[in-house]
Amino acid sequence: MTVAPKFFRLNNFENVEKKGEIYSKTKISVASNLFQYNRKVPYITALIKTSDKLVFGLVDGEIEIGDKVKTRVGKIGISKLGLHFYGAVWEPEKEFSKPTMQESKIKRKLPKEKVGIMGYGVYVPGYRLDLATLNKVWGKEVKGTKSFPGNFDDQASYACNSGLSALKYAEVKGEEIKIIEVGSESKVYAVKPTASIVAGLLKTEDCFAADLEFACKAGTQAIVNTFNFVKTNGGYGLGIGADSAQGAPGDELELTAGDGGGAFVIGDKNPIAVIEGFSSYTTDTIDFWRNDGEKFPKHAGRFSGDPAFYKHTINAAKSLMEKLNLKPKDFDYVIFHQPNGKFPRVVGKKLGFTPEQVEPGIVFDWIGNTYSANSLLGLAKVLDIASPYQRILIVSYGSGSGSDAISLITTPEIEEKRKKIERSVKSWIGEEDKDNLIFGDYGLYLKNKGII
Amino acid sequence: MTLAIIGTGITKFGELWDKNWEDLVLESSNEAIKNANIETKDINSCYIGNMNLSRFEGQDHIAPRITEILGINKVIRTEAACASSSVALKLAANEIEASLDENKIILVIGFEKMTDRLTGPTTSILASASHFDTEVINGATFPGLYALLAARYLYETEATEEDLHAVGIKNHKNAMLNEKAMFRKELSLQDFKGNIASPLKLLDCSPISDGSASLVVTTEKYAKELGADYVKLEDIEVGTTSISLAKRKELLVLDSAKRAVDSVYKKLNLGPKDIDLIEVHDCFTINEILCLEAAGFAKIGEGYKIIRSLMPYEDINKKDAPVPYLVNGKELFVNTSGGLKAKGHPVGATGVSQIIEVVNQLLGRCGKRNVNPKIGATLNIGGTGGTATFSVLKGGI
Repeated sequence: MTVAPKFFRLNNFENVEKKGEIYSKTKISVASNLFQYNRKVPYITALIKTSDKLVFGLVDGEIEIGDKVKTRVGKIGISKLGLHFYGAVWEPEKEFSKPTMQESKIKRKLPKEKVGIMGYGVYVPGYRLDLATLNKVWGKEVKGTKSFPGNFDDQASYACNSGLSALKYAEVKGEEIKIIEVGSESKVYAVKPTASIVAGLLKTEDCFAADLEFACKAGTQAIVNTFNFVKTNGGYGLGIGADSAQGAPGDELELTAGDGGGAFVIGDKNPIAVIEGFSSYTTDTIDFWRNDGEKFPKHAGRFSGDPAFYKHTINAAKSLMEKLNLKPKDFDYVIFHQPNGKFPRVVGKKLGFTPEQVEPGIVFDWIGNTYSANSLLGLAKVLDIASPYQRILIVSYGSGSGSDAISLITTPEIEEKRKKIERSVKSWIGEEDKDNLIFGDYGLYLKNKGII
Repeated sequence: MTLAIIGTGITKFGELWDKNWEDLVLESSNEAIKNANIETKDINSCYIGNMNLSRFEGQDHIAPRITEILGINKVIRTEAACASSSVALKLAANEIEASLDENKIILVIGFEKMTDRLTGPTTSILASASHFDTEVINGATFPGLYALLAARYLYETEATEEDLHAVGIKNHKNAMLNEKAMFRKELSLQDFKGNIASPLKLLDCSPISDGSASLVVTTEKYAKELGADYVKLEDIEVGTTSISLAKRKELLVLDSAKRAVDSVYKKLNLGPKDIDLIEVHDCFTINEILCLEAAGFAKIGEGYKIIRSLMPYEDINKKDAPVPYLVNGKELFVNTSGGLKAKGHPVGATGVSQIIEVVNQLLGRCGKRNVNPKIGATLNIGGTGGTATFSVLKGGI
């Protein structure tokens, strides 16, 4: 629950995870200015018939009376005090493609470790910018797409939605979560945690919560910290990486900075993959930074390559493999941080991994670099297809600089639990179900990103 | 004790940028006092209905400001959104009925000054008459809420958007004959374009207006003693229901209005067939239909058939007089003033202004738009129907 004076206490998660049918609807073209709504007119409000009552709510997507709808968590608006508030947003119920397992004959041996990933969830907004658009505006010759926010999306809504999906997958109740860590470099508040917004959503109070920042690697930090916390304190943990990645208009970062979130429930009850070890590598390297109060990060261009990304990724990966006495061939899949399409593929080659090990975890090509969420989305995409007893390596990279390498082995649980997933990561990122994507122009992108 | 209305006063409704709210209150109340042929010192108490001066102009605690302006030392303010001033009249009636003083005279004022704010803030101020935590927070506006009623009505019945527009065309036509009305411009079906909140078009919505309306009420006995021209306020009743649309028993039934209407009909032992003229709350065209249903002129879901008695809609503007509906073969005049839609809707003034139209019709003071009714009624709605006031009036002489 949210505790605050009335005009601060605007989060309302009462209708989250409800389904219903549109009873009446209207598209409002002249809005009230009571809240500085992040959405712009027109917007759709509706009366929705749920199983037990009529409720009033905002709708994202075109609907007709009688259509089936369900909710997700969305940013409802911003109060005049600058408070972001969240609640249920209704959207049409749709069928999405589901994950399918890729059979493997190789069976790795499960370690003694019992703690691991019990469930995962992702959220990627459906809006895409065709990078060719940037060619028209800035003269950049690039190809590809990246995700950007819809009317009700921001970093906290990514954290909330991916977190809720992860709990559902793990079959864990909100109050059973004893630690929530949210890694991000685009927190909605400079001061006021996103982790506590998630705690409010999950209705867990007997819980440790913290936001983490280490450029693009704060998501794996959340997993490592949660893993350690659960091992010493018991209970279950929720590690999240969520970002609405910033890139200044015209800057190289604008070609890649995407939006999304990934969340992992960590614990010892029927894990789908156990964590057999992790290793980190950190140096004081300055390749990318954002000063307090500044909207966009700055970076050192080509310096981001060898002395930054490659050095830290390689050292963390090597350190873990040495620690666990493993070689690249001992892994079935490997996920690297993806600041662009080239770096993860090149570093895979440098470390001795094959494209067959690297490609399944690539998400960049469809949604760009979602900063803290990036490698987590890659991991979720691999878990979508992994069969039991497979070893997965994930190596993040965060500027500043450091890398976390984590090794996991899937368990037989993964097969059964996968059947409950309603939407594959491939569908979320737009590798599949392309019809669901909404391609916007540069103006819509700038507006939804909050740049104009 | 029978109540009598002995004086009325009303300002022009519209965008009155050359006037403060005090100017409007003074103008309507002085006109009503003069019309009643009394003096301010004869007034025992005053009820003033206003929805939201506090957010429109930053002023709460309105009653003593009225004392300051008018010199009446017992002033009580009422607030019930767009039904604020009809509720004020209800309280005035209560005071007279409960009093042992048969010579009691009460001034009832309604006013709103809305155009000093821009559209965005005004829309949010008006939205505060809906459920804050569920409707307002989720972006509700008043056009939006009534649009939800309209969308469902069009879905459940055979009614069309043209039936809604016909209400607006008729009321604009009537306003052509009312010099106090804000819009004196005929409309045609082709004018209804540009969604404010689908399916409601801009011209399905009443305007943001300034204005004030005042009445002088006393007992019939005292009205006779004074030798005044008066109209009998046969009965007035208020009903309330849940403010949220989502919590209504039936979305399309104005439950609060039905309660008030049924209570008055029962007390007076009359029914819709006895009424010749009614001013209803057409804040949005759909609501004239819902009001006609709540007041018993049609079954629930069949009110649009009354509107269709105006067909062909192209002919509404042909006559130089108010156009009646035909209800079971009998003429029913609705919103001869132009209604909220065309006369204007300064929300706090609307309830009293509806009564004034009926009083003036019953007294034959409406010139070209006079339709010579015997019995008239008003149905004033607050918000999306959270509050409703129904009254029945008869000529006194």
